[in-house]
Amino acid sequence: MTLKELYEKINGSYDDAIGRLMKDSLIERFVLMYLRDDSFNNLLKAIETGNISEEFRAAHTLKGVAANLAFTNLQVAASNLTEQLRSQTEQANPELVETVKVAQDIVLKGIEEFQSTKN
Amino acid sequence: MVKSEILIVDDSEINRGMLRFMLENDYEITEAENGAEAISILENGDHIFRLVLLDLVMPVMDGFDFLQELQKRNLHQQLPVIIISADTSEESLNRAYGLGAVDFFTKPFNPSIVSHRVQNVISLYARNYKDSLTNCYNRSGFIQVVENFLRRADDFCKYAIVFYDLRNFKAINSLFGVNGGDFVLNDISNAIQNSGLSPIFLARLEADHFVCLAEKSNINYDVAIKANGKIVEREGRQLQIRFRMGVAAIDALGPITGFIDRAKIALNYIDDEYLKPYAIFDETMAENYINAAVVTSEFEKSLANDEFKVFYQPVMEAATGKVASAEALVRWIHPERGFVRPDLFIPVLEKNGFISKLDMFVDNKVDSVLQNWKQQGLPTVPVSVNLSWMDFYDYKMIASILDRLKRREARPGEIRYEITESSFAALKENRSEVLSEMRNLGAWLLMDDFGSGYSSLGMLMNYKFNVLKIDMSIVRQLEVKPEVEHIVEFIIKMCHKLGMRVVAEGAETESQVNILKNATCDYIQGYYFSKPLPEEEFKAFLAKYKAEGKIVE
Repeated sequence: MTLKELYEKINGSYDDAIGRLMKDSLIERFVLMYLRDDSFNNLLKAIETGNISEEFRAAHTLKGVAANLAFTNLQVAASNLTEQLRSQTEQANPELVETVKVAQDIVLKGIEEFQSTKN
Repeated sequence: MVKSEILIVDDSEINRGMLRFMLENDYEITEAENGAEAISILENGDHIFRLVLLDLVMPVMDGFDFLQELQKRNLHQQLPVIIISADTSEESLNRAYGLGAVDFFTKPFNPSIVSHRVQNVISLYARNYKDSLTNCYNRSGFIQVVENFLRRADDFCKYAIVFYDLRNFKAINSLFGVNGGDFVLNDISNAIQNSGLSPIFLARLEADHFVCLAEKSNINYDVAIKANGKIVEREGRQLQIRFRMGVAAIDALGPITGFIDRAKIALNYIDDEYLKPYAIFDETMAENYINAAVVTSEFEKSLANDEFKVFYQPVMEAATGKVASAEALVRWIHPERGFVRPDLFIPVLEKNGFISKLDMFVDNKVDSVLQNWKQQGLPTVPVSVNLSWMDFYDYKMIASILDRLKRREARPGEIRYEITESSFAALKENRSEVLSEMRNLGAWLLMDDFGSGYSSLGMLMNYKFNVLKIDMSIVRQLEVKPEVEHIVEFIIKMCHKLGMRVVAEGAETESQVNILKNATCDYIQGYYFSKPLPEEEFKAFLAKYKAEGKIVE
């Protein structure tokens, strides 16, 4: 599996990633780092405990990381949730959270598959 | 040169990693996961950051709180912060700007935007620690980076401060104009940077003074000579750049200004800037060192306590080797500091006006010693006393000199005064009448230090001197540059035509003496014949020469 195929699979933008990071080896390094990234888990934890400001913070961080990795689909989902939480007055909207979960799932599965074809 | 340091504050390892990748070729990167960690890194003080890249939304301490903490610690004026955030809402950015952030860029990071913004902000703030003309450090920047570097170095004793004194900067400015002078300073900064000294940090302190930190092992004779004498050319005109270098080894983790001062003091101990243009500071120099404030506060007491001694340096007739005269030189033997170099206290006394008191003391002392010896039937020679231009504005002193000249009815030339070129230049017209009056009363006037500054032939036309003294800086070049011999020969011929005699000062070698004799120099003064002698030794010196029939009658 090539990086380009991975980005197609997860609805990301390979062109954006290669435009900024210049080299496949670098994109790969950061993409694999995402498997260890806590942003999504922090979001889930915050939602479990109902801490709205933590929810906002985690969604925001996830949005930033996804943007940097050019995981477009995940970025859009995280961005929508971030905007819903920005005023920090109401709990995370379950539908928006679900969209983020689905997008995250696709990204993780894609990266794992990419990694397995590498080995 | 050392890379500028950047602190990246972001809770995501991926974000930090990307920024590091984009910047680490040009900058030294440190990472912090949140504001609290960033503050503790800053407080630790091991780094000198030139920029913070700050995420706004982070756990533990977010970007806004971090900015507030910076303000509390008064760090925000020196340390620019660029916001890196996915959150580009106007509200957030306004809040961040309000707290002192200077710029922002958004996620995803674009490498070219990142590097440009970073570079712009760093260079904008660099005026706090860099010299805008040469792009090396300024004084405060240098002190900061050097102290930090030494604190973290494995062995600070490996390093030394080198202070550069540019010899001919005034000439450079007048030859090339101020813009040209700036160009030359830039050139010099590059030359030092690329010299065998391999400076770790370089700074321009004042107009034409540079200072650097370098490894001691790089500082040696060859390097110092090579760094010197570079020819710069501008608009077809050439000029040689010459330094003198003072070196101070780092032997303790103290304030670096102390070492800069030591390196500067060492400059005073360069015997011959052409043969060895540098000197290394040692503790004996510190004992001699006396600052302007001490000179001013202790001068009058020291004068009353008889700490100032008059020494006599014989001047020999070149053709016969007989003693012709002597020059009175003042020495300060401080009870605690020991011998204080005249070049450390005379300029201070010239500034605060005490010089006239000292000159008058020397004048009276020389007179009383000579009178005393004459009464005892001991041999004497005429002894010249140095006068500063300021003395001519001290009416008491001038009255005392003129009065003595009248009373003594001395033979012409028995009483002599030396006045430097620069003092003559500083004398107003009405004061030059005093010179004529002194001459009319039989005093001889000697123009001192000819050729050390801006020798003007006009001075020779406007004033009448009996003797011209060629400065030692010229005499010392006799063996180094063949042209100098011709110049000296010409000066001597010219003086003879004008009815003046010539003394060459600072002769140290036989070959210098021979060259001077060949050039028909009348008199020679210098260590080759004798160093300046204390009163008793001078008395013995004259007695010995008298016995051998070697005093010019």
